[in-house]
Amino acid sequence: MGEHLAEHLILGTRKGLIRYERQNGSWRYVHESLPAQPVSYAFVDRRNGTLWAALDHGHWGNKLQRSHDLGESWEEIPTPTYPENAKRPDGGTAACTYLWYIAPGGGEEPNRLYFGTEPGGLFISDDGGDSWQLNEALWLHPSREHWFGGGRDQAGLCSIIVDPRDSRRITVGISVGGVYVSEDGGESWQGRNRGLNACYLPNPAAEYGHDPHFMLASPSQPDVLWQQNHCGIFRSEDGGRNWLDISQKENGAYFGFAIAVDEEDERCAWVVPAVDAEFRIAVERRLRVCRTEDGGRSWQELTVGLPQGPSYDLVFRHALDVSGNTLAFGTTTGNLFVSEDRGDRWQCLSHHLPPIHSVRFH
Amino acid sequence: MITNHQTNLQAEREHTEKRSLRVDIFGVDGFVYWNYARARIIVIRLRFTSHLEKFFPGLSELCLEAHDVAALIRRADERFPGLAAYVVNEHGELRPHVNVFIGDERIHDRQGLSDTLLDGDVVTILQALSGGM
Repeated sequence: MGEHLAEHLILGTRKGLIRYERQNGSWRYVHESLPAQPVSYAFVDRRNGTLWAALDHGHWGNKLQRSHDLGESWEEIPTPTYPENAKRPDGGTAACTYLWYIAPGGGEEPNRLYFGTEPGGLFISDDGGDSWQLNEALWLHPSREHWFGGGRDQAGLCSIIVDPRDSRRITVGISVGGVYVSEDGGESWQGRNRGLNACYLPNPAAEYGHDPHFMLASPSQPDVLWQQNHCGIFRSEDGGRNWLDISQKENGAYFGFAIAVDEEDERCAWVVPAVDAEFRIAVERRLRVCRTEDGGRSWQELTVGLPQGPSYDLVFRHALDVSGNTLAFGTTTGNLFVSEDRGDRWQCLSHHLPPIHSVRFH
Repeated sequence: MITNHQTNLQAEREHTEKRSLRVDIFGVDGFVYWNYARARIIVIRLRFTSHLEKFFPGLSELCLEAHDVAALIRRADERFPGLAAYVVNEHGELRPHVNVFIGDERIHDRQGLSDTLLDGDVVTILQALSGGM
């Protein structure tokens, strides 16, 4: 299944960027770079093979690195910066405090990149990342007073989807803020949160203030959106105009951070459940992946090869990925798991890695 | 015995004196006045935590002219482009987990870095004990 067979696993970890490679049918640890530097997100832009790494130095701030040789050499480039007049909702001056997520533009925009940051700004580059501009239309959206931090101190823009049929249609997820869609390349934005549940607000059906931990579109049917939310798992079949709660609390498919969507089947997705916000550990101390193959009507627990206790593994929002029949995820306790059969059976590639922030196939 | 630090200090001072001997032109009511001005020279020794050398190979103590900490960081950035972004954010505010000392005292103005420097001051940039991961 799938035309592209991924040969690399790119891990962003608290102690550097780690690369695994598929060799003779097995995944091998082959390379470490940016040693001891916390990598908040890393991925390869398939349009040109550029490897991107967003860094979160505890002391020295956020940095952005790119590599044209899969991490053998790196080039530090300027990070997105907020203009002097950009204010946070509390009136303070906005400054970039975390680099959450990078997404490439559409196929006909080879030099366009999108960057999601904390405190919630979307930055756009049209020169391959040499320079970045804050998207003011979203930043100045009247609903921004409803954005706030969740887990971190300030809102983070953690999800960016560019419609493969129309690159001017961009969908973003702000945690905490909600889902926004632009149909005109970022010139204007509309909230798309109907049907979501903000269980931590006095009015859970509020128009804004929702917490999509991570959101994806089905590659085979881009109007089908999925999100692992703070308050459940949600799916939309109309580009986010209406969301349906597809959680199944009884087997744990409710709270979590990561979600992966099948490349060819818009009814199939995977999540890695966790006990909700106060705990943030594996449900019942057993690590499980849940898979739906019917658009969220039911969820199947997948546990073969995963530790069934005691497990304190948590999977962050960008640390689960799928490529064809192969899935991989990394955990906060440094475990890296791979499945070659769509999650039916899992193999642990290492128990001894640093806390893993992101996992992406290439 | 003359140390390397003293040699560097003297060299920076002489370099600065040459630059500061300048001609200023003031135009008032159509008249032109020539004024030879000689600015007061303030040379600072700037030291860094060794952690920063990982990102800026060759970084070691610098002798720079600056009247306050903000100017000192700017001057250091001229020598090692990109260095300032490791110490301050995009608005020039000291990063939360970085400390700057003048002598043994932490600076007071973490937002504007306006703490005044005196000739011969030793300024040290360190990572705070907080913020490690």
